[in-house]
Amino acid sequence: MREEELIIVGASATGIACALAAQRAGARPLILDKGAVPVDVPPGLRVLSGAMVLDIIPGARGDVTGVLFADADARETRVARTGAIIVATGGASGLLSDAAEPEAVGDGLVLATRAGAAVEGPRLEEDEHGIHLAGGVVCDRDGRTSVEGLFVAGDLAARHVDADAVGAAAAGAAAGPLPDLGAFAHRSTIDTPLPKGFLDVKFQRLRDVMDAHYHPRRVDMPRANLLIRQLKGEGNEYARARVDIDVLSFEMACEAAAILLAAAIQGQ
Amino acid sequence: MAIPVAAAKTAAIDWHALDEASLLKHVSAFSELPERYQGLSASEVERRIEAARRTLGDSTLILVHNYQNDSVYRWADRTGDSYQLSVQARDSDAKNIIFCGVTFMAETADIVTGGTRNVLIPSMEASCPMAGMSEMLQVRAAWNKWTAHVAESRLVPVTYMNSYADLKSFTGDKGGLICTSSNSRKAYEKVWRENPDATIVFMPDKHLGGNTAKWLGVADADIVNWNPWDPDFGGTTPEALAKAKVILWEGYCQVHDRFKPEHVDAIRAAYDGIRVLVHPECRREVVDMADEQGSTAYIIDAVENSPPGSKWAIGTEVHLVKRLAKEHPDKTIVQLCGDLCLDCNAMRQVQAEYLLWCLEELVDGNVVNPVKVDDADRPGAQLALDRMLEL
Repeated sequence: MREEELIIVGASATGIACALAAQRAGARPLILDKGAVPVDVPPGLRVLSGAMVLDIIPGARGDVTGVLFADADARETRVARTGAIIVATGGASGLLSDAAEPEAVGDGLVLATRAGAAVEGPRLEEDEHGIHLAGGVVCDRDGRTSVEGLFVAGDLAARHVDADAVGAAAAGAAAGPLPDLGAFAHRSTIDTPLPKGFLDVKFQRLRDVMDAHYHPRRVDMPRANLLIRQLKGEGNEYARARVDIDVLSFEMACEAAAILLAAAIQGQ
Repeated sequence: MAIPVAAAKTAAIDWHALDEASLLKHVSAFSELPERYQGLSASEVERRIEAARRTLGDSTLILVHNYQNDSVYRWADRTGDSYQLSVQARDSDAKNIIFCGVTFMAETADIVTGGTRNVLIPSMEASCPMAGMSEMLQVRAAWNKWTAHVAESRLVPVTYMNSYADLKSFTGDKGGLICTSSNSRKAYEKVWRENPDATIVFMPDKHLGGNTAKWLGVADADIVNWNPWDPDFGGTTPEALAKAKVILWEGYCQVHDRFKPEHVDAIRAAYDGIRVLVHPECRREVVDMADEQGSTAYIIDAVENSPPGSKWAIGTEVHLVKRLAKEHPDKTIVQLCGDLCLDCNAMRQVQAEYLLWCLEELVDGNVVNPVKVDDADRPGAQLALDRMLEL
């Protein structure tokens, strides 16, 4: 089990800006990213690549106590203990085919929702800059969500937030003693790897369904909901004992799509 | 708008009490069930299900697959395998059919009833991963590659029931038929009786398709495996494809694929005189080593009709094996691979609370989790299923 003062999810430009601000405020941040370490990480910042955060572990007082993450190298799930978390994974525009940021498939939206943070009308909208997530995780100007110790930054936030302000605020929240948390880890138990390219097909299928039913026409939402839920169920089965970043990413992307569809259905 | 989706789910998990192995399994649990149905006591769920069923009466039929867990199985009006349940759906007059199985089964019920009933599935996330291993975008791409080397009139799809409606429709449109684990042999025979030169394309389960070919004496050299994820012509060659009698799609059931020859050896060493009985979705080498093989209906009959004191090692989904062991205390019934066996995660998505949710919404006049296939898929899928029912 790792112990960190502040965890930042996502080595995006926003995530790195938050980390630098937190560092200046005296915190010791660790960035977890499911992909490879970006080449332009400033020296002195700690980034763990191949580390996909699956859940934010709640505390007894409605706060956070750590994150559960999949370690791609070790093929294990691990826990990092922390009292403050910034989610900066970007929006969810990558759930549609023609998005400028195909890697933004809603991980952060899922994490915040799983943690119980208030979410406001999340939807994908298109303007002159392209497709983007509108609405999102409710927060104050410093990125504080309704869950104590959980912050959001970047496209995920339902309002504009400044990365410097979020980093400083999270550093303040991380200043106390580390919370208590039991130690556990889960090792992959299925030894049959999925074929290379398997998840590419699944992601294409997911985007095809979203293209056809969600954007821009929004037709037959119950049918879309069934198809997305069905894919999510498949993803759950593939992911349940395979610690594989691609599989887990697919499952979370399906859940993000389900959240968007649920919001659209309720809004109709 | 606040979305409660997973907040309740997270709250329902006592993280500190989780053991290591179960941790990841809980990540996605209960994400679909309304909050008001979470955390109910078993007795309350039971009482309310009974009340809702009394109110709904004959208007609602509950179909439950053999792999379902006991908390749901007990509420069945009818039980069976996917084939038996689709027939039950077709022959019923009920206005509402709650299918406690996986989504492709509910789709099939909607097809065979002509879209005239409300078919519901308690959890829309109960989806068979094997059915998802043959996406139509892959099948169409493969079909185009195959027909560049084999006359299209020679290619006949035989598609396992465990598939989605769009593939069933494609199967019907291409002159093929659906089969189950209990009639796959008859399906192959029908195709070759009508067209001796036919090349059967079996989707999506390579194990059932390969086992069936072997039972009918097809030589290994006449079988090709098609891996749709292999960009190099599916891992085979145009020459091999052109002379093949059977093309096997690279799909499999994660539950049955777990059984290995060493499990058969180990169980025979541990239990003197034990009979090994496996489902034909198992690997061919396991089926070859087994004493008997058959569908879930066959497995149930074989155990029920065996004398007291019989010993069985069964290679199929864990809930069915546990139920058989409980129902037949006078016999020794064990899982073929012990603790390494998996339950069907898709079936596990359906819990009694989900059934209660569907029932109470029906009482209020609401149809939640409806399963309706696309109208465009209906005729072809119906045709492919009708051809199976003629077997």
